Amino acid sequence: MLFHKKEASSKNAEAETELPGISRLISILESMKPGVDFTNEISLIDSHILDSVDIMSLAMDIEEHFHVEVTPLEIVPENFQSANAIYEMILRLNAAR
Amino acid sequence: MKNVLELLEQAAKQAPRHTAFFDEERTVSYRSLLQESQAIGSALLSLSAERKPVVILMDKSTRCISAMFGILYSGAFYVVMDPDMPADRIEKIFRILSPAAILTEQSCKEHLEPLAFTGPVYFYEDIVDTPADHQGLSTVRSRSIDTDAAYALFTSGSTGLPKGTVVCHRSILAYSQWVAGTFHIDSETIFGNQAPLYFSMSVLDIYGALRAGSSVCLIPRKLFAFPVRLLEYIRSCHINTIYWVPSALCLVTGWKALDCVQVPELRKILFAGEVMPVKHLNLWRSYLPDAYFANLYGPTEVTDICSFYEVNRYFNDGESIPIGRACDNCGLLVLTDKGREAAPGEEGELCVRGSFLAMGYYNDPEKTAKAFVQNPLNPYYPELIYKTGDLVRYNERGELLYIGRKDSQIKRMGYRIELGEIEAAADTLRDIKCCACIYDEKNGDLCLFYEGRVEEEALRHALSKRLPRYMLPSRLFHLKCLPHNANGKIDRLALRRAYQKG
Repeated sequence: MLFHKKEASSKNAEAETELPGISRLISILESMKPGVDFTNEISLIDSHILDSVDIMSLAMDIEEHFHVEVTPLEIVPENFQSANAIYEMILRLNAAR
Repeated sequence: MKNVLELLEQAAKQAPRHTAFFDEERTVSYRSLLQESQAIGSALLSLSAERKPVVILMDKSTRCISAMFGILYSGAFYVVMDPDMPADRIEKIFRILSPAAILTEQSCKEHLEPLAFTGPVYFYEDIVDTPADHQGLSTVRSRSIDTDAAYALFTSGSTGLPKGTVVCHRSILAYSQWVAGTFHIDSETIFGNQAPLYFSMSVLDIYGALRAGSSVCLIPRKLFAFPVRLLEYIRSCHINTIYWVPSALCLVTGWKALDCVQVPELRKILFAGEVMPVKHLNLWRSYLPDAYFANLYGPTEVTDICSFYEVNRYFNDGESIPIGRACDNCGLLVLTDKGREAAPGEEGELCVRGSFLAMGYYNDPEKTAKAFVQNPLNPYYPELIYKTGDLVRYNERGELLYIGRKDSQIKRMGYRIELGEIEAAADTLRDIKCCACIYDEKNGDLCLFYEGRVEEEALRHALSKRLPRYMLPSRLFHLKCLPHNANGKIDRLALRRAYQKG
């Protein structure tokens, strides 16, 4: 991606060898958009909860926390409708590494 | 020509079956568009709202386009508004406007409910099949003149009250002539519209198309988050001309989406609304080396655009893309603070004169008089110029360069935002002592600094009730005390410096 990256998180990301679980994803989502029930919401795109800026920001966070490369072909509505869908994408990208 | 509807009638006469507007839902030919508009206009005749505003609260669609022309057929002028806008802001606008009616649709009913509007409400579904009253419509038309208002668009106001820029038929006719002539728009042109219909950039797409008998694809908004899908849609709709904000163009190149999807038919790429990052322009040009690129510049108050620059050379990172030269039939002046013309290369405020100028701000003579003033270089007869508030200068090649703003208006993702409007919204909270908003252009962060014992949650909630989503600050900073300068005013420069230090 060509977008500028935000400052690295305080945790030393290099030290993690296991893929973080979905709870990490949910806490990223919650800090991005407080007040949304990401555990249960299944229509994040159709209900306009996440917009284009959120998706860009989220993709950067995902790359940083999960050490996967989010390719443009993955940026489709189906992959972002729910936390589960997003995490499934992460698992796919992780397997492809 | 004295009325923009003549453009529609002309196009419908020349090529009735040609596609006028299309979206995911349906395709509308020029003849159908004409018929729907006349039906809607006929239904609205009973309002007797000639030269009065009718608000449109509809999502972007071919239906909304018919609504716009329908209102014009009834002799009124249209005010397209974002149905997602907080009710509080809609009410503010209604108090300024006193609309003669609201034209909406069933899917927007929920946005209507919280409003205190007691006037007539029309649903598109109910009136689109009204039998055309050609006699009534032509009577109204016979009374219309080219300086009658065609639409008003509301923009952010620095004191908290949005400003409604009123544009007349004559301006749109002059502007659309420039668009079609300069960019060689014809019946083969297929526009891929990105701008919401309540933003002035949509005027180029709609009236440029009408002037030349082109087709306009209303690209679904959600696709602008998904660059691969967006390009696939452009390809399948055979879009060959786009006029987008740079943020939308950067989305595509930022994700390298053009590596995944080819769009060989896309030949004209126009952009406006914010500074175009050179890196992304160069990427677009490398993917589409034979395409035509142009940087357009102008505020809502001059219909849409007053200057343009055709990209004909390579730019290095750090260079700025010029805003070019005046549009044909549009006058530009660069004036110093003293009201005289700037010397070559000298910085000054860009002022515009001519038919592209809006009539003023609806029901706001004070703000209108501040922005639309007598041309100081003309002491001989009344001639208005619009002061853009943008600082510019000419470069050695005689091209205009944008330097910055005189005030605290910013552009974020192409949206025009008065930082003062955000501050005014925060100030409505009793416990806010004072606040200041700055814009971190590098990261695209809107930062609000505030003094006062307020829960962050309560502040966020109050702001979301008053401001559209794109104006909501991404970061809130509570300070015990905001820095003040010698005049007693909040020292925004100090805030910015402290923020940048981290």
